Amino acid sequence: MSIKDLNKRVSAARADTESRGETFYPGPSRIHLAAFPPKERWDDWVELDSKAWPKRVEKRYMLVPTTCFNCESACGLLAYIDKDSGQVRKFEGNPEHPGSRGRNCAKGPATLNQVTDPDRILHPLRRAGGRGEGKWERVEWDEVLDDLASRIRTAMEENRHNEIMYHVGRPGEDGFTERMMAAWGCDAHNSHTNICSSGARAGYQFWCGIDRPSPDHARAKVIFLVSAHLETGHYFNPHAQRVMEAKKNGAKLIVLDTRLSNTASHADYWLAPQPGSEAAIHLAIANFLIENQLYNRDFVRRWWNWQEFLASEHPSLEPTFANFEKLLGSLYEDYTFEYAAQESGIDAKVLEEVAAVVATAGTRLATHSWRSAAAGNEGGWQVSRTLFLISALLGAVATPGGTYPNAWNKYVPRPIRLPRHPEHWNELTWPLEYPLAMNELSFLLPHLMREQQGHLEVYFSRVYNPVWTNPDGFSWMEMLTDEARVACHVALTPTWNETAFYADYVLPMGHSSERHDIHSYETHDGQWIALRQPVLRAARERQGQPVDDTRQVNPGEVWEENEFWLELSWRIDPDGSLGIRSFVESKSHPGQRLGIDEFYGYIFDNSVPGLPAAAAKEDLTPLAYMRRYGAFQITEDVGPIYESPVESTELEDLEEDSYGRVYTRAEAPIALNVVPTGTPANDPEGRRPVGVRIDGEVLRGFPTPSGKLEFYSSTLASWGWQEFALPTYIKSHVHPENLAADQKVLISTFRLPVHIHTRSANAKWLDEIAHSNPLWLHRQDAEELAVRTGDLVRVETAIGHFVVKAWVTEGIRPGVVACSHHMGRWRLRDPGQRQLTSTVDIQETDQQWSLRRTGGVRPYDSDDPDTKRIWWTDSGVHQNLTFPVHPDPVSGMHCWHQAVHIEKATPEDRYGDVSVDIEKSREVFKRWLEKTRSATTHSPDGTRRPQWLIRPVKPTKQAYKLPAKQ
Amino acid sequence: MELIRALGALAEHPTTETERLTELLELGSPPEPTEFSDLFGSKLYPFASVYLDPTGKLGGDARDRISGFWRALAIDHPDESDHLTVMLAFYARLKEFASDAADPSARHWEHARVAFLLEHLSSWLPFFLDKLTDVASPFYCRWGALLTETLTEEGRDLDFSGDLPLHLREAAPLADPRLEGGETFLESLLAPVRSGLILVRTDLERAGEELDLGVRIGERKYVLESLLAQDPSSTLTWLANEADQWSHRHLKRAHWTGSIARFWAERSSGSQKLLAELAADAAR
Repeated sequence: MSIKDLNKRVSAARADTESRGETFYPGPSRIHLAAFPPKERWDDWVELDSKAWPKRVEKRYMLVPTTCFNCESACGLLAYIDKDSGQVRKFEGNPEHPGSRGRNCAKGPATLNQVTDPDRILHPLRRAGGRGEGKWERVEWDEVLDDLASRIRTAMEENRHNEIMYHVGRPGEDGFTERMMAAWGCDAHNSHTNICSSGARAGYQFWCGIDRPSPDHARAKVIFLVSAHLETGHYFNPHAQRVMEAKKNGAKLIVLDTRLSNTASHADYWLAPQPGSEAAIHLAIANFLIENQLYNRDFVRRWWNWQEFLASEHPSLEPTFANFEKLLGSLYEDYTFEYAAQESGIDAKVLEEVAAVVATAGTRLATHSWRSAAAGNEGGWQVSRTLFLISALLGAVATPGGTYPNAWNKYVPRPIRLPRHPEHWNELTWPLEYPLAMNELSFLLPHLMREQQGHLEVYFSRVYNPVWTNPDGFSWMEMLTDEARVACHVALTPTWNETAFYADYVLPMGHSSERHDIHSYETHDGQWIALRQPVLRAARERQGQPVDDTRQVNPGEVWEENEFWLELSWRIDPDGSLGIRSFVESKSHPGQRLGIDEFYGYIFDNSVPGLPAAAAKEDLTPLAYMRRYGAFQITEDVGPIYESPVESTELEDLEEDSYGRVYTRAEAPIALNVVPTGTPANDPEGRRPVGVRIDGEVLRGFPTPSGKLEFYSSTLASWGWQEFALPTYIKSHVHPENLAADQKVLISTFRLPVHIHTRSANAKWLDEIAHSNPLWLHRQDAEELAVRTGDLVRVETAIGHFVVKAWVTEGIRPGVVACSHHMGRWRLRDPGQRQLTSTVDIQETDQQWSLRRTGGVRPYDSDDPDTKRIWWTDSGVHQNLTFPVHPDPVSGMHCWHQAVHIEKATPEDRYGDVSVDIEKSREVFKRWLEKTRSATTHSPDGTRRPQWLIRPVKPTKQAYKLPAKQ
Repeated sequence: MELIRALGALAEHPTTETERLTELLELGSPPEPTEFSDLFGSKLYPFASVYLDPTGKLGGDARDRISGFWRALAIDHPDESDHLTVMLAFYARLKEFASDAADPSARHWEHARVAFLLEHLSSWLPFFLDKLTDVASPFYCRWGALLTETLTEEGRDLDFSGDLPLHLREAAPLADPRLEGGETFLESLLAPVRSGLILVRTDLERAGEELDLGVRIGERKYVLESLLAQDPSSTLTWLANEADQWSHRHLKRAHWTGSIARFWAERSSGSQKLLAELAADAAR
């Protein structure tokens, strides 16, 4: 056929196809992932063996996806399993993963180091000497399970449910263990969140009933980040790649960070404010938008709860939007650029320029605040709250390029069974003094145990290291060595850590390629789920060899948590009398314990829309599809759910309050996505809140009491914090007014992009890249102190001091110093992790605790020849030991920033020295306790805590009631 | 113009739509994804910049020059404006605009079409399609032949005897390692616009086999370095022969792209001379 005729034929075919509304040409996006092994070759991927060079030896691999377990982003990994050895040879990115899109940060591929770490724990161990003495013996899993089951069952039978505690670091999964604790009937869940993100969460939750933001970076016009590490630490990879996409499209990047972080180095505007002044800057920008009428009036009118604000605070005013706008014009008028400049130390003109850039974004403003200022300062929760105020003024909420509540960009599939609500309330984690705390007051445990004469029968620390990570670590050592207080400490951990040294059992748990979990994260405006899986198990199953216990394929006797918890629960309640057995019993084989395939198979068959159809197209079961590809995109472009009309079937016998909140008698449809959100209360007649009336239409709204964005928080107002009912600025505990003349602010929360707290110390590649945490000191400050880079300085906090090397830099604000919290790992003796820990000696005399380094990192013999090549000796300084607890009286967040005095080290000081007076730490705890407004005196309704707020494990309504007065 | 678009779409990863296109174009069974990956993912990258940029790398000034063409016409350009699919689709679009009799600016579009064909497609694509016949699977060979025929037809009435496109005129020849160092020499050898050669991985493997040298696994520059380290004289001679063969192959396209084909032929014959000289030096 001639060229001319072919041309005609294609034109006709195109016209015909498009006339049917179909697409003729495939989209162009596929070219971007051409570098990945095509998925049709994942069963038999061939590469040349680098070790065989110069011979050309082909290596055959099976590629099996899993999910990274290092930070919380849940990026996709692809394990290259050597078909000859049956072992994982390397990890690369999974191109089928919608969040990470085939890309990883350094921590993903370094999973291989963690798996093959010569120091990892391969067998269950039991303490053989005194607690903390470092003597261990191997023990059988069966023996451990029987002992723990017996202890837990006895505690339950004796109504000592609150003596069971599960203390978790980053979960890396969505609710499995929370539900397990609830199934046990225990208020046992104790998260690390109050040393992490509670401050930021509080700000978001009071606004929209959902406690995390999901910025749509890629489509933004302006990106505004408040961050000591954002986009270079947590969320690093999925967000960083989308921030760069936006920048390529011309977006402006504004970063508030006192320190020149990697993110700040990419910014169009890097603002280095006085720590704690961030909310004042936000309010100055908000004031600019309001004064110049640059805000989205219609959005504010429709979606802010201004009617409730007027009724509560200005009842004499007619409740009109015009009256609200008049008030709005004056509410923030004191927050001028000059005021913000005075607080932050940043020139007023620069702030005005930034505000003008923000104003150009319209609904394409992506904002994000996590940890950092929100986690550093007393009142830090107002940092995220005032940042969201800017988004809410511009109407940039769940819009393309705006900021979404995370629950709309996350998917937690309904499991095979949902547990009961425990009947108990644990005051060791949810004390009465902190009724509005977003999460458990986990870091106060040693103090609360002492105050309440507490006792724990079984304390699980799970992939968590409170001795090292939490402030006031010596108090943790004191508590954990006291067997009268903690009867049995079980450390569930893949690798040695400081807390595990003080355990009775150390139980080896799997890394990301050795365990099952489902994980979803807010990475963009879409919803996806990812399956973490033991890759060798999946590989065996692909070859037709079923595996029924993950220990059959994991190294040594390493187990996975899912099977561990299922089996432990089964043994706690062998006869079903405690109501636990039924939760972990197979549906398909009654009388048998639930297995992993049934657990996940049920979820993928029933709770993930679209997955069964996608799997069927490839002639796979949904479980097999997830095992093959590792991730599934459920939706994209979720959009503003609050604007969705409520279905008429849900509108039955309605009641409406004076602000438009609509309640219905209709049963709620069964939600397949059980992602945590606020749960506003029913009306007095028992109708459930279903939506909110806006301009005559009943729309879905937000999961807040009002159904709207709560500019005015009746929760804060009614629980004793009237002065904070609106987004405002709280002067930090490290505000210059609270500092002595010789004090500086220490920022201790920033990350090193290649490490992740204590989880990555057993990754040799990462250790080689980063293994120290010098003190960032501005040149001017260094000159005043006559200190040069490498000199030792002594940093004094309220309870002690540490000795660290100085690093003189222009990359930090004068008057502020910073030290990364990722370093300073230690061990008392072997066994222990040796690639990033120094050996130390710990002494205690009359409440004075000290830690001194006795040896650095050094090369050693092992199965891995690389350990002989270790060239670094440093492992940093453990600064967190010297921090007293600073619980924010509202959010409960530990306020990490420290007021410190810095001087040159004395001749007696040695690098890494730490000294603390824990009596002083108790005094600081009590001083901060005095700031609280207890539920006993401020609860408006006789409960311990507003029931609508998110709580990881929710007890029964009865348990929420305040205890009878003594 | 639809044929050009369809041929462009086939330079993307095969999908279910590929089958329909291959059937329409009578190209036989659709390609396997592995054929696609093998050709476009590891041998012949379908990006103009790889062949036209003096660095021999993706993007850079060469891509920006193509993006600039879009900008000059006040059309938003995609990120990868130099991808073959995008370029052919853009050309088809220009042709579509130019053939709209009702459009008063049709002449302007026709001018743009001719300029794009002369400067941005003909400057590298015939060379690319020539090389493709050495390394592609039967399907992609058929596809390449049809694209060659189509482009020849498109250029039939054009004058290829005028000035060379600026980016060809400005490109420096192969670097002399005695003056500019070994690193620059190797980089320029792998930059087609400087050497007049397209050396893909399999070419270097062939060199190893023919010269009985070990081929190390790594990027092409690394492989070349290792071949030169093992036997500089033989390797340089082998490269000189390759350049010589290419100068003849380029000339065979002179009936189609005139001065452009002659530019490439001169470029490879210049490389041949330098490489032969270097080989002789090395033998001494």
